[in-house]
Amino acid sequence: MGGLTKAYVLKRIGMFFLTIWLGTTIIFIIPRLAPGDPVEGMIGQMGITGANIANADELIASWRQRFGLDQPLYIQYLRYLYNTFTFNNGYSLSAFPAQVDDLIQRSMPWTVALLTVATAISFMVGNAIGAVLAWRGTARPVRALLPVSLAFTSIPAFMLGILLIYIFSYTLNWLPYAGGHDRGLLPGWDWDFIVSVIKHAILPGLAVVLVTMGSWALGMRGMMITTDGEDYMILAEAKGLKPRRVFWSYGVRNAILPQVTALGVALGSIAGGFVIVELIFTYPGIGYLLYQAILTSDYTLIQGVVFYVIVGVALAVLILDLTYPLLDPRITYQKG
Amino acid sequence: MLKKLTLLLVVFAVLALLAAQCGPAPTPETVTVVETVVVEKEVEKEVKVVETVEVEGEVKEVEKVVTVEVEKEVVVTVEVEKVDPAELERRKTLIIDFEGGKPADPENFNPYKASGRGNQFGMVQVLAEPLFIVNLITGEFEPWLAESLTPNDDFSVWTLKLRDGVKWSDGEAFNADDVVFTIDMLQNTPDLSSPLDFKDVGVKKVDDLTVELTPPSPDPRFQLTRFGGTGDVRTFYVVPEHIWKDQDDPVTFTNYDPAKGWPVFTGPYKVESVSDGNFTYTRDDNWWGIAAGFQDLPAPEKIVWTFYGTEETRAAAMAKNDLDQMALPSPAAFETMRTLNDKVHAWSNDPPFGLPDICTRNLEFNTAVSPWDDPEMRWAVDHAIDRAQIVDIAYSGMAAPSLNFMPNFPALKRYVDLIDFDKYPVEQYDPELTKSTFEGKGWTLNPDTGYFEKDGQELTMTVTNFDDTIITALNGVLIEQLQAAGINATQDIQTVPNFIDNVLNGNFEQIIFFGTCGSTLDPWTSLDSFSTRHITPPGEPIAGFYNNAWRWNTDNAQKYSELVAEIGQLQPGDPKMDQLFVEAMDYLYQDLPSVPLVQNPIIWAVNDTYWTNWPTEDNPYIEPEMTGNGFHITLHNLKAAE
Repeated sequence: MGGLTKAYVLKRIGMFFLTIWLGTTIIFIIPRLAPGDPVEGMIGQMGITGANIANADELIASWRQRFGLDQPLYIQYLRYLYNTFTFNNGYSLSAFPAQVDDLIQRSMPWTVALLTVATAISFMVGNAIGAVLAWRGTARPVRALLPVSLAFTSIPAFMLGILLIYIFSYTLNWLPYAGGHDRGLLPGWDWDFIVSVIKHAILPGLAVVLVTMGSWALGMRGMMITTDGEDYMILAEAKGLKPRRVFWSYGVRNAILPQVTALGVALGSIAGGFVIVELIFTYPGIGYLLYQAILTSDYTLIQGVVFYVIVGVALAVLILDLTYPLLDPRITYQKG
Repeated sequence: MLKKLTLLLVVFAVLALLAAQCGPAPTPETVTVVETVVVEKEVEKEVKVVETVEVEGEVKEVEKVVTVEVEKEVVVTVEVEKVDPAELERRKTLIIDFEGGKPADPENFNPYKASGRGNQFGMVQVLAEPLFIVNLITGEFEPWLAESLTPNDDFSVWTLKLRDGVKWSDGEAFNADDVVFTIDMLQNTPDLSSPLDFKDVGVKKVDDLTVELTPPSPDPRFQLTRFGGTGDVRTFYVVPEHIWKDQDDPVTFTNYDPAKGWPVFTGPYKVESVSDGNFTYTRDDNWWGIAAGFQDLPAPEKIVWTFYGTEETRAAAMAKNDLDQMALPSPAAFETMRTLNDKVHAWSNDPPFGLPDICTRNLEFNTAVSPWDDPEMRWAVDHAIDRAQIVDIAYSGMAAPSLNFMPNFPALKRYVDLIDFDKYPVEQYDPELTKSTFEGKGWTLNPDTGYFEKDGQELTMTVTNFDDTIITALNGVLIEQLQAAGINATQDIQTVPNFIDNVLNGNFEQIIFFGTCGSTLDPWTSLDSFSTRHITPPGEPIAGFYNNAWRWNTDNAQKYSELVAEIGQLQPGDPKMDQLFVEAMDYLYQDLPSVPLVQNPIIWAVNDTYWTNWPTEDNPYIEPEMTGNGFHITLHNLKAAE
């Protein structure tokens, strides 16, 4: 089957589960290595912000029991593994009685929609710039101008966010600068809401594209330069093929393979959101949720978000591994 | 480094806010149309005509009334104000900023949820009404859903009288059954986060509007400690028995179901919609207060709690009139907003612009740790502190030095004024005195290192603070001052859970904190935070961080605690308290376990563009706090701008 063997597929699926198990075990251990009791910390946080709790002792004891923190560590771990692998991440510490999975479910569509589109645009534009930069036939003025567009990559995301807000929200007053949709609109499949969502996604999306496309371009440029000296490129030109065909079918097609691998990982990482950009634009996505979870030491929520990131990346890598022979016929896992 | 960082942040804030200035004019889209209208009017008028006629040589006057028709053309110029519908809606809407970020669980209106305060998004400000509102300016309990709470002669029984005519938003009557049910629920459900302790309080319904409450022991401060007099942003909220009694688990009950009309509270607003970062409330024109003759309806027809993100974007929204109130801006952001929008102001027009926080900021010692277990060493540190410099650098001048651990509220200041500060010169910045004290204790200054040493050991301090911008800045300035005084001081910034764990377990040397928080109308709560009754055996944590975190347990501490216990048996305001307070302060200031630093200002920026009559220093009907239930009073006083 397209260069794949049954043994290889089984091995890769085994690796997939092993990766997830390792990742989830690490995120179980890390919060427990940190000093301070999460429940005590959460109740204390309320106290520090002016909310006295008369029954703090009882509350802490009761909550430790509710979250299973009064159990021996191995029991906690086994329960955690079972719950995690059944996609039941339990209650959020900072938003109790909200369920972690509900909170993630509410934020995930915003991030997936925003980052999938932004990553796709960034991938296409970045790789196009990189390929054109490296191509011998590119006109000099174009070569001189293109690197300017990559300057944004060197600007930190938060600065770029403020810059975009300054230009497009305040100075030109074209686009909104905060939130996922207009105030007063309720989420639904109506035209007003959809337009509002798109308008609110433009600036954060643009920030993501501008910040990330440079790395795509630089990677592609390097690969194109390597490809340029290959025999098949010389042969294609010697055969008298049109430069455009040589560029796309021989140059770009071969150079882009490692970029596709990186794209897979990037898409898999979407589950973690783009924290800084979502924070600057108050975007209601998973990045903002993760930021809030870290701010409130909500370990259960942090674990939940990170779990989905691990699953996302591991799944992306698995799919890539299994589809690579289809993308590149030279790759095969079959012997002989 | 700290200065550079602060400067950088201010530059960012200013950059973002300057952007707002460049934006379109924030004025409403009001168009004045001048039109000329021609009005034609026909009038029938009777006119008396007098004519002279000559009849047969005789001249006579003849009178006759005739009717004539008059036609007149009138030109009228009218001015019509054409207002954008969005602008019209804005004029009816009060828009408020979230304090402390947007809640992670917007669909939860349980006032006793353990995972939040409920005061960030309007639940306690416009939906849930309290029995009493503590007015920090007047020093009074203002009755709201209740009419009175009165003790018997020996304070063993308190009688709560409810206001007649109060109704829940679904039309059911609010009565004693609801009060009894709520207290029972709190007593039987330890998982609920109750701000006030009703654990051992007896409760009995007398009639529909009367409840008898019996504290575990005679308690002259029962109203203060159980009904919001201890500086809590929350208070005791009665829940509707007819809804809550059917819930299996009040802990997981979110009290939110739009289809059923939930949440049900007694306030003058109902939930219109809830979405991520936006809470919209509409005025309930059938609110019970009208029929009961209690209050007029508040002016705003709609109230929105919304989240604009980082401080820069929130400040810009305020400058553009997209917000009517912004919570706790930094001094730099507040100054910039005022520069950009002259309708933005706060409690006062001059620094520190806000009232003090309930919690003053102090340098608190773990008195069990040597060499800081010696009161003279602590006094030496006090004289090394230049409070004016702390205010200038960490607060940009917008704070006041503090000489005591209680906030400068009128009801408390009268007690602080009794302290003899000539005898205890807390504010005296005198590095020479610091030096001579250290030398008197056997420490010598090493000119090479600039630090005092004794028996080969450097004099060190590790001052810990939890991760908070202003407190971190304050500590940074303090560390510089301690270094200048020859102490090898270091700053330790910890996460909140880590900090709390260490404070409770005594794992610290010094902290920048506010372990004396609590008093608002009466000094007892803060005084009691120093009491030795909170001391636990070594190795055991204290019950809470307002329970003698300093481990102060000397002879002076014992004598102090006896006096505080005596004060606790007196009714608030009892004249005998004055002398006892002064005596207690003598013991406390001799030992100085906690060095007062700053009256931390709380700035609530407000905008007069759409709504006026906010509480201010010149119009002090209530404190400007927007996250407490005192906001009900503010709300009923707000007026639409003309």
